[in-house]
Amino acid sequence: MTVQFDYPEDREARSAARAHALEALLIEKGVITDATVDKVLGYFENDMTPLNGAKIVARAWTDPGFAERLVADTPAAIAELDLPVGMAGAEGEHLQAVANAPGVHNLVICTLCSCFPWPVLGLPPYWYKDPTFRARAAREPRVVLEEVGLKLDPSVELRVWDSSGHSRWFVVPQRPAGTQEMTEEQLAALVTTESMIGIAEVPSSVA
Amino acid sequence: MEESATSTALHETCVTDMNAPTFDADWQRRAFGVAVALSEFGHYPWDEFQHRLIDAIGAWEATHEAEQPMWEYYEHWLAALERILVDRGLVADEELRDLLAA
Repeated sequence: MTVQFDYPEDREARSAARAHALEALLIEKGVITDATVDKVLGYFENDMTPLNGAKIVARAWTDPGFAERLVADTPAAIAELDLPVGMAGAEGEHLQAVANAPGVHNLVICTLCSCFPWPVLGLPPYWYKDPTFRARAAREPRVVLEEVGLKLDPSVELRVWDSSGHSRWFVVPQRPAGTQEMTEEQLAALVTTESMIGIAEVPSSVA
Repeated sequence: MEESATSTALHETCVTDMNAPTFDADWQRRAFGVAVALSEFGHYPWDEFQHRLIDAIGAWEATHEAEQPMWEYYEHWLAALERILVDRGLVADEELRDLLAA
């Protein structure tokens, strides 16, 4: 651990008090209501989850035309599917899919903060926001991928996509071998959040 | 991976616990919800919040390592929220000061 000048528990308590007081003030001033905040949180926790991304990927695997449209105009292609309707603040209009292919692997990062394709993947995992991951994944992505268990053949081209407010990337991973008999629904169950960020491949069966 | 967190060690959840919960505490969840709700209801465009978040994180990263407080993503989130509320006139400077002093 690096040297700390504050006790983390104190900082934690202070931040908690600040956050709750700020929300209370905004409610008191009539800027928001607690129901508004609950509604937004419920939307993120119940509707905008990686299940959406998994359904999109499974459709792309079973419908080559959709796979092409998905990369060409991601929001329009997603609108073809029966997914929860997006909300304006969720940045759905900035979604952009990139597809893995034999010899090409894609990795999504956000070096500046933590931009993430919320409507299709939900909220980012903790490590995605970690400063070390953000810096190293930009500097030495192959090494980082190997450390988290994905060893790419040197012949595979690695494309790293740095997310921003205007481009929220997600990866369409490759369909695993031996899944020809599976239904679209079964395929969707295989797709993980990690594979849609690009730090893992999709397993051929559910773990 | 060694426990001594050198500057190159990935956060342990990156290799061990892929589906780590997004919020460690309720205040983080509320701060997230408030920031998104305000944007959703038209108080500011999302990228204005995002710029302040990038500034807050950038300031932390620019701090000399010995003086750098431990990384806590949602502290930056909260700082960005306070900044945009004042910039947008939703909360007055004095109100924010009273809040922090309380």
